[in-house]
Amino acid sequence: MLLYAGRRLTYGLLVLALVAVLVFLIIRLIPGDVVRLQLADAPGVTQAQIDQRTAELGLDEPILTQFGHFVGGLLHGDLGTSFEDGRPVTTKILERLPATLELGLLAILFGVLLGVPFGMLSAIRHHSITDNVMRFLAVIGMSLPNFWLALLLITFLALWFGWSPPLVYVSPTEDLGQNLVHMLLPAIALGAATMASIARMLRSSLLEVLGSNFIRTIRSRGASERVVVLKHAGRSSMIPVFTVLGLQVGHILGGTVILERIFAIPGMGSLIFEAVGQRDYPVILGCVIFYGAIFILVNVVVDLLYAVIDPRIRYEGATA
Amino acid sequence: MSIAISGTARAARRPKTRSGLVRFATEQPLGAIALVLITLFVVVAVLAPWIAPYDPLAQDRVNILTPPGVGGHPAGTDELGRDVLSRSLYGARTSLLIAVATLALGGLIGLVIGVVSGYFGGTWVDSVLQRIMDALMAIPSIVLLLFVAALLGPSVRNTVIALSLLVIPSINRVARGEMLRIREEPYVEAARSVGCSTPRILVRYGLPNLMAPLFVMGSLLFAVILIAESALSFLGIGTPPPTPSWGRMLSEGRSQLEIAPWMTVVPGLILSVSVLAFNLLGDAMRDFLDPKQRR
Amino acid sequence: MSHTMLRLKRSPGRTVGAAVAAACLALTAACGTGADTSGKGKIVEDAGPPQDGGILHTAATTDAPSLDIHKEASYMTHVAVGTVYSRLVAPKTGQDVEYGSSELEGDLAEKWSKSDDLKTWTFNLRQGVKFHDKPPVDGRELTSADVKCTVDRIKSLPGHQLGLVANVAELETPDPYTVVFTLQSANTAFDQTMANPFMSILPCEGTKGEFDLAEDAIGTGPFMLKSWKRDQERVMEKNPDYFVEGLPHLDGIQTTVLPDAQAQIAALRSGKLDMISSLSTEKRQVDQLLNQIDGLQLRTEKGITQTRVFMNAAEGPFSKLEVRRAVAHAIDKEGMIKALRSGGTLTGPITPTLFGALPQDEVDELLEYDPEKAKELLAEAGYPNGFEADLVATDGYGETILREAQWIQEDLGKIGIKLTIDQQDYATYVSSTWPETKYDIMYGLQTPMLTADEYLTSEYTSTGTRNWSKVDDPELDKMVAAQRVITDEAEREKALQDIERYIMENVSTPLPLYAYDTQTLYSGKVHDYHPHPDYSSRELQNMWMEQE
Repeated sequence: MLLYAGRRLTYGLLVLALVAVLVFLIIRLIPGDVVRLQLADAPGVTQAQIDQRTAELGLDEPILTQFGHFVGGLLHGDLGTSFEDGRPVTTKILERLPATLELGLLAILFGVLLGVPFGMLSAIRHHSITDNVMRFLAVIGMSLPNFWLALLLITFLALWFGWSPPLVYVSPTEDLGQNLVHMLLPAIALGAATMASIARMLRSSLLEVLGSNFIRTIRSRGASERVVVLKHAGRSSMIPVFTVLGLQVGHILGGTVILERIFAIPGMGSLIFEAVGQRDYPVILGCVIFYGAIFILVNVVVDLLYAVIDPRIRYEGATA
Repeated sequence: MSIAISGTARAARRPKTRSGLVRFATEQPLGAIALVLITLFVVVAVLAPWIAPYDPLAQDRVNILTPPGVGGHPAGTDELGRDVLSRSLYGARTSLLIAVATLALGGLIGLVIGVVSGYFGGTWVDSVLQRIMDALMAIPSIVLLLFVAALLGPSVRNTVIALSLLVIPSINRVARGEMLRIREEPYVEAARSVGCSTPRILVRYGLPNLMAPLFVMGSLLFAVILIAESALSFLGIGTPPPTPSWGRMLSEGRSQLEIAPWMTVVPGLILSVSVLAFNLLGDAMRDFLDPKQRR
Repeated sequence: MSHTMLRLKRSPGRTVGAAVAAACLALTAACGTGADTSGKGKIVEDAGPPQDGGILHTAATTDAPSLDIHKEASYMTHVAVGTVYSRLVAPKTGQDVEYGSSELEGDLAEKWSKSDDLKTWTFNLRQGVKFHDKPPVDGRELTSADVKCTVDRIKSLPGHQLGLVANVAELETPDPYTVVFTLQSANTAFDQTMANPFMSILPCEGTKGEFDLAEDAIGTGPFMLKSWKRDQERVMEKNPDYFVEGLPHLDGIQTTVLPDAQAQIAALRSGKLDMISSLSTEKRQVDQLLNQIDGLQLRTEKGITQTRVFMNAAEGPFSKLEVRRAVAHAIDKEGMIKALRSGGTLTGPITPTLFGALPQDEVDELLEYDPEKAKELLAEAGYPNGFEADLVATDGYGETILREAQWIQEDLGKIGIKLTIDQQDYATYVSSTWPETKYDIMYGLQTPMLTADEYLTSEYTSTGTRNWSKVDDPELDKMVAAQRVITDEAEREKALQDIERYIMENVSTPLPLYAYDTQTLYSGKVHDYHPHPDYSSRELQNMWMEQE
């Protein structure tokens, strides 16, 4: 188990390094130049001033040298400083990270809290009206783009009920209630697809388990349907749910970029959106590496959780 | 001998078309409805120039932002006086074009990587390819798309390239998984022992077996692409104006949501129904092809 | 545009069941827009004596990149911290003052005077003016030394504001309350220069780097910066020691950064915002809000931001003057304003609100919509059948600019110029395409400038800092240089207008189309809001809110 975890993490680091290389190269190819961008609105800027700023930012060196510096810093946990305001990238990201994590967790929570009962109901009442309604709702959840759902929620809640989300983001440590109210709509908009995926996945895996010999045996011993579903079938059918969660992490992280913008949440999503606009290379790189790290970490955790949930799974020899 | 083997393999995985369709429709009614919707979608997309009441780009400047039914526009007009219905119908064309091109491009690359990787499963080739795929998957799609779109500039072609990056790892995963399974099948072993070359085995036995799971994946990815395209256009980095695309129409109409909801309700509805149809079809096909789900 | 419609409910806060709500979504699709605004949105001018107290909640679509009012050229910085600082003199605003008037009043200066040769300007400062009580300045008194520190700093920085003080040869401070400027050449309106928001007076502690001017702002203005969370909110509180007795009325200003217009509108509706501005586009949306929210006030101001068609004068098909003039006549600007803006005024190179602008009827004629004439000009240029080109535009300015680009695409298509829209992200557009003239034809905005000379020199002279259309006309260069030294006001105005005519007829790039109107919506309890186009927001010192 530990060996497996270690191996997964090592692979994760390798993948992360690949991400860093890919992104570093890609952003250098994007047209537009950060120095000009910073000084663009200032007439009378001389070439000397542009050159000076370019040198300050280390952009006059060959790409390979720049990459060398980048990797060197990375090994010390240093992601460099922002082109925009000169602050350390790590600091900037760590400021923004909590909001994104919170939004993501809330969205997952929303998805799980609704998706699991929906999926179970659907499977138990297989082929009933409830099942069909649930399936239909689930597929609708997958079919509405999250940003579109968010805009509909904002506009029509205000139009019909005179309610709008709070203006200013407050951190949960400052005022948890206020914070949760702010996060409510984006979490719903973001979690809808997760809810749908979980419900669908749980339904089909439960059906599969319920049809298995193992459950037939338990049923034949006279266990109530409730016990069968919750105790015996529920446990093993949760594995696909975790798989879904692992896959959904990507969608959720990506979704935060748009939703943080719409709801004025100061997270990593809005940070990277701004950074792309400003060609703030170190911040873009830093964000992508963090995104990648979160994604990989969550997937490793999900894998390990499999083992906890289903004791039949052992990882001694398994590789990736 | 090899022909006979592949024949049975095909028969096992792919039911004969006609009876297969009928059986599919009876076993998966939702899937059948989805199939009808998708057929409709394709027909509309192909026949848009003949069905649409107006040129989707024509600006009827006397009828700007008119509600549905007014001024001869069945679904109203947008801020430039363009016919919303015609634009929505043509939008299907744009979406179909983008989705098909993306699936073709991303699918092909993903397929090649997946098949090769699966065939060499467990070797360094497999490891290297899969690590690169993991790296691609570890970057959230929108972030990846932000880069690529900013790098290349918005155009239909570039949207396809950006979206392909989304498709490649998924197709790769399915293809590789299937290949790993097929590799161990007796008939492939047999073919190998008879001395068939590697590429020949891949094409001859790998691909036919891959078709079914790929169709399922393709259908689900179609839905993902439709949503991703609209997200890209919503962020202003997808299909450029004035090309009618559902994503663009949503983004154009968002500031008019309160006063001219028809600008977004019509394309939004069509988009959602299409995504729904592809999701349902993908589901139904998976259930249909998976013997464990059959009863 | 007459059609039957279901009127939307006037008061929003009504309980509607979820099912009804769902049905309504479909229903609103069939509803029209209530364009009846008679009596709605009126500004209440006689609300009685000002009351003290209250916090104004307002929103901004983007935040200031930094708070350094000298280094940062973005007007967002001026909007952000304009109320923190004071200038020597400032434009007068108020109910009786015309919007955009150049009439000045003393800000830090009690009085000011100029010598007969217009080369020596003396400003006498108010006594007892205190900086905000924040470290490291800690509420000490402002003196002439701070003015000197500020001007020295401005001269040392690159950028736009350098041009404003380049003419200052010497600055003397004979005593703590007197500042004497000696100019290199005569300037009849140096006090106007000092009223520019760039001329905000900083404490010497700031110019010497004892605190970070990009992150904090300490001045002598009516409001103090309490906190700034970048891209989230700016919180201002009343300066209790403000040098004008009894001002400001508000206890504070809370500005939230909300990029999404729908989110802003929702917040106005729910009462979380008292004021939203820069709704330059959605007239129908504004009408609907006015119908639904009781007492909501609408302030429409003549625009100062110009929309522009930039054409490459050096190469490509648009390097031919006739083609550029054909473009000027081919676009239906009035139709565009009516369909896509809440209002606007056709403009020459100098914005209509500024000194030296061309008379309106002349502008209208020079920009007349005449497709036939455009076709003739195109034929004269050797393109009787038109040609193809790419039209660059950015989504960085919002959806309206893209709509306008499509409008232009359609209009130019009618005379045979087939355009393909090349939509670029703002960063590429502003940092590469525009300054490096990587376009044949481009549509966009020009950040407003504050004087006629600024427009002409920076954009239309061959050595101009913003000559990004590659204009190279020695005759024009001479004319622009000549107007700068004319001291007689009437004579100078005539010279400026001659230059504008010359530009419209012989240069025609960047081709100005119109300055669009801006709209500000604010709640019925907000009074005495008299803005000025200089973006400094100083007028907020006079604003007050009705207390419950």
